[in-house]
Amino acid sequence: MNPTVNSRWQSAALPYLMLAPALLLLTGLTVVPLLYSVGLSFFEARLGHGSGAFVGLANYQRVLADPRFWNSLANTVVWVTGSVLSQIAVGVVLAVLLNQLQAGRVFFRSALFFPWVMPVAVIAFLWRWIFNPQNGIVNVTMRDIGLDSMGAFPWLTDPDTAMGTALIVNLWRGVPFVLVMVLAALQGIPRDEYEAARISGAGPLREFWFVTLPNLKLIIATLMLLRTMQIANNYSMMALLTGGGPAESTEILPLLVYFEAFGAHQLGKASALAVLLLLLLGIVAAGYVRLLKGEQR
Amino acid sequence: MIARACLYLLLVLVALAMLFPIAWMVLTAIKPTTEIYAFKPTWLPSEIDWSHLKQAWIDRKFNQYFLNSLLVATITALFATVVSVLGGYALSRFEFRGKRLISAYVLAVYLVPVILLALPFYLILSAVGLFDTMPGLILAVSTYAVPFSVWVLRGFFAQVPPEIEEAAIVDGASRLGALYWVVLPVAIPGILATALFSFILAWDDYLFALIVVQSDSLRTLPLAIGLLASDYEVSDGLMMAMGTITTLPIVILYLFFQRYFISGLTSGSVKG
Repeated sequence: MNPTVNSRWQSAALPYLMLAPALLLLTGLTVVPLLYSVGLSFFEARLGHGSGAFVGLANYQRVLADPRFWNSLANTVVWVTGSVLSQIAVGVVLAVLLNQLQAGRVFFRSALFFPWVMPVAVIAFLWRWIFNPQNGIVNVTMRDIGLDSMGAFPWLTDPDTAMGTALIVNLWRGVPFVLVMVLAALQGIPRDEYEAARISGAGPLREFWFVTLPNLKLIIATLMLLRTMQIANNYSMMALLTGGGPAESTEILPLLVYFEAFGAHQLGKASALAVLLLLLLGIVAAGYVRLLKGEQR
Repeated sequence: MIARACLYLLLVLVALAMLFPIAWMVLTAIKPTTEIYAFKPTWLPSEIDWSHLKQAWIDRKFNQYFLNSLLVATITALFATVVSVLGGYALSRFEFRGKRLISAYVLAVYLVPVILLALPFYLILSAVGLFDTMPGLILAVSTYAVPFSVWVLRGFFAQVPPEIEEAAIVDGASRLGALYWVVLPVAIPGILATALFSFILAWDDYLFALIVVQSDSLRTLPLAIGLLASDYEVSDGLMMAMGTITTLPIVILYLFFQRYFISGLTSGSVKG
């Protein structure tokens, strides 16, 4: 072969060759299992019994007729919207405050970011200890300040407070991520926009409203999408914090999927549930993306 | 002036509130049991009690689990980074047919719910004989790391000025030679940030370990913590000692490479 033709062929093939390992892995580890899951959802499949008969949409009908599905869907909506909104609100406020600092910004950012990199399993048990009814520091403090009626309150094991308490834990974990992202975006806002606002006599609040917030729209929308996906898909935090209890009051969809598959051994029904979760997230993501595109125009 | 002081005070309080839970975990781990369960627990331990940490490390075999976690996270990070350097570079530097489609594919894969993959993983890994093995777990954990790393590295390579590799190619280097000798050294911060994040994602994994691992000898730290929590003989002090051991390597990495953590997060994962 002529050497120039050879090298031209090589340079045309090179990007594909370089991408091949990553694409093979992504396909083998994600797309194939995903399609397998979709396939399973149409079969009467039980764990340990091999694959059963084709049942069409029967698994989906069973899921939709199950009150436990609707309960966990409602819990998921509360968990995801509550987490996303609280984390973004607190994260944006803290980032704006931090951005005012002339000195020590890097120090505070480092200190505040750390919870984000802690292992979730550790976070869950750390907070279970903090909210421990008898010896947890929260209730010990309640007794210290004289709120004896709250002195043994079971924060994470009372159906009325378990979700709220879990949201606080998730706030602690998620705010650092939002904070760091928003801080980076704030540093990209052109200085002259603030100067222009100041010249036209805007105070700090009007400045925040008319200069800062509009500049943060894109990052806030992106973070909302990202955090929604991350939280809606996360199994470990809630599984280890409450296990879905008490009385299924914190059972979110990923936990129900796991229970149906490995607790009830109903692989077909579990797959149908997981596919429904994927569809729901797809719809939410498509909505966000449309919104984002509208904003950019 | 007063406003400034109030701002600092407020931020100090917020920082304390954010860091207090972590401090409380470590303090509980090194406190004598009587002080943990006292009606009025002490804030600081009267003396440092190593017994919980020793119990976790030796009796509860955290030395073994620590090694397992270290192996899984290190191999996953190396593997994912090598694969993603090649893929990310190709996506950021070459023009070729299907580039947009492949980019969209990587992003779509990044957003697939992990719980959806957990069920088929169990079946597929069993079918190919990788259930309950270290390679099986590493493959499973790579599902988090690879799409993320390709995406982030694509962003990092886009920031490296193309002139420097053009100069190298003019000087007679091949395309891969230019990547290795000229681009990689410049992109080291980005690559390091990506590898660190892959390591942390793998270190954090609980779900895949729960599904793939059955043998006690293959347990990772998060899995061991999750399983031991339901053992009524495991005290709160011991739990916090286990948490402290599991967090320690992350603290060390954080102290040494902190700016890479934050640059990895802010420059690659959202842009593009």
